[in-house]
Amino acid sequence: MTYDTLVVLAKVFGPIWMMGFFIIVIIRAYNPKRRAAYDQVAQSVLSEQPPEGQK
Amino acid sequence: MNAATTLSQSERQVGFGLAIALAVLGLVMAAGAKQGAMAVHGAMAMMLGMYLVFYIGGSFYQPEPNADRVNQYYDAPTRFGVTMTLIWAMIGMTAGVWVAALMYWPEATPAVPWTSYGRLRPVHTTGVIFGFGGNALIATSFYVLQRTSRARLADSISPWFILIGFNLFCAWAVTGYVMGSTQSKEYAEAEWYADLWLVVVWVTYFALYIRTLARRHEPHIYVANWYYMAFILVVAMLHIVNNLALPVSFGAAKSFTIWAGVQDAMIQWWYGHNAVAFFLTAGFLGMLYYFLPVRSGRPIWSYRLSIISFWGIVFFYIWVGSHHLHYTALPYWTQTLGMTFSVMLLVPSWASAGNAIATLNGAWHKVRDDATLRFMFVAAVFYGLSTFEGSFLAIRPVNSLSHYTDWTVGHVHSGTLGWVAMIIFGAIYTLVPQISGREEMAWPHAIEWHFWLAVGGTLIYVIALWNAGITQGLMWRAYDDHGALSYSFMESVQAMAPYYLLRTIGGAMFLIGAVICALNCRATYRLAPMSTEVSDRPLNPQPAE
Repeated sequence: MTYDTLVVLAKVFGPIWMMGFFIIVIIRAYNPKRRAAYDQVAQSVLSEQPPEGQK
Repeated sequence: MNAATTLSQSERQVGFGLAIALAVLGLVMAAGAKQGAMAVHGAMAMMLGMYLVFYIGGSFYQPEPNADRVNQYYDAPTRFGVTMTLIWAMIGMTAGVWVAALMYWPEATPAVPWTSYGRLRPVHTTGVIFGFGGNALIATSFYVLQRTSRARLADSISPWFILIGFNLFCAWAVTGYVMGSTQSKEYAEAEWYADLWLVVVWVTYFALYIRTLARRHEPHIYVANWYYMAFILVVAMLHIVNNLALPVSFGAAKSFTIWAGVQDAMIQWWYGHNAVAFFLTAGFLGMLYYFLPVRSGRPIWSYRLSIISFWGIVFFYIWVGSHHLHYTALPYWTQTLGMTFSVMLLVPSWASAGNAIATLNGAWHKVRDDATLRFMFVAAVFYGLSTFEGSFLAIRPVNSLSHYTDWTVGHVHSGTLGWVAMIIFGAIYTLVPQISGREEMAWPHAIEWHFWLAVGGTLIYVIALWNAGITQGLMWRAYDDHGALSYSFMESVQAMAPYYLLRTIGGAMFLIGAVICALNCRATYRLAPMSTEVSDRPLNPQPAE
């Protein structure tokens, strides 16, 4: 593989990989279906919460 | 309390065996090396191993701990880790204040090699970053991991192996430097055998973390754990690649890195900046995301944003190291890459800082009244400030003014004093009463004193070095009408005198605060009632094994 080929590959796949990953993270984080689950997780560290099985 | 009494009979046997193994390893090292730093380090390991043999042996036939302990969090390692955190804080910060004073009074350097500035300066950096920061990360990670997973640590031997092993690494490192043993890599000065030892400790750490997470009773892995895991995993990767070296012989401390020339420089700063990213940021964000909501009694403002920030920080940080090598032999595009990612990094960094500050919205009265929460608030503010400054300094033309000046040192300290140390103290003041079975610290007013000394010291230090750095940068680039430099280098050094005095004063104030914290923790531990009745997050009991 020549240096130029490597540069082309890096420039093509680097942004696709990064942006693709970024979009997947955004979709997973902001999917409305997960809102309730994330709110619950955020609350879960506050110590007043009873353990999972005892609700 | 003897920590060995928290172990079962079979665990004491394993601990006893490991202590003997450590003593033998030390003996082999010392005998193999015969002289020099490695022989001293072998002797240190041997003595530590022998001490542990007697320590565990002395409690060998003590009654076994309560059978109900599997239904409780295992906090004895955290307690030890917090103690080591504060001991290293005092060692590392004292070395820092001393070398800062030497810059103002250089003639005060004693005519003994081990007291030279060049040997004591890495004692300061290693003592503070690894000793103070590392122990705080390990100690709090055990605490947070158990609470967020509602599970006890997966076993009782690994946490001790990790903490004692890590502190042996730190002790080898700093004693090596004063003996003149160094591989001359910034923030990675310890020699090859210490590096190998740290790999063993670190793999055990990661394994314990994963094993405990696997036993969790929460469906979701709370975001603090993601940050702690990123810290453990990436530091392992950085440490191994940066420290690849060939020892001169297996019986000598000296080694040579396998990297050469500009690649060595790139690997060094890929490591060096990611030590900032994953040692001094990721794990501490984990601390922030757990202790800030717990202390303020409010959930994190946006959990979703914390996920985006996590991936942003992990993805962007890993590329920014080359901004340390602007205007060097490193290819220009690589420098530009580091600069670009540094600027982009501001987005996830400010998302984290903003998320922390927005969490406090509605709890400002608590920030006003509670010095512990105020430590965390100041940490979030300095995190925002120093990440902005970092992105700014990485821009090539800005770097042409700032590089090699004390502005960089001021920036680092705005991060380490203002952000890292503040969140550590906030976490310590939250968890020490908890694991001591008390409602609050022994001396609540001392926390106020500590807070104002720490904030005052940080501001004096950082503002003095901003002035110092910009003055230096401007003096070095000032030309007269004939195109000659206006100032000699010595003139720029002399101009630093007032700033160097101020940084010594600021650092000393910060050190005094840390001493107050250590005494307060000691008093809290001593007052501790032998009960665990103070409200804690309930643990889901393990099924019978």
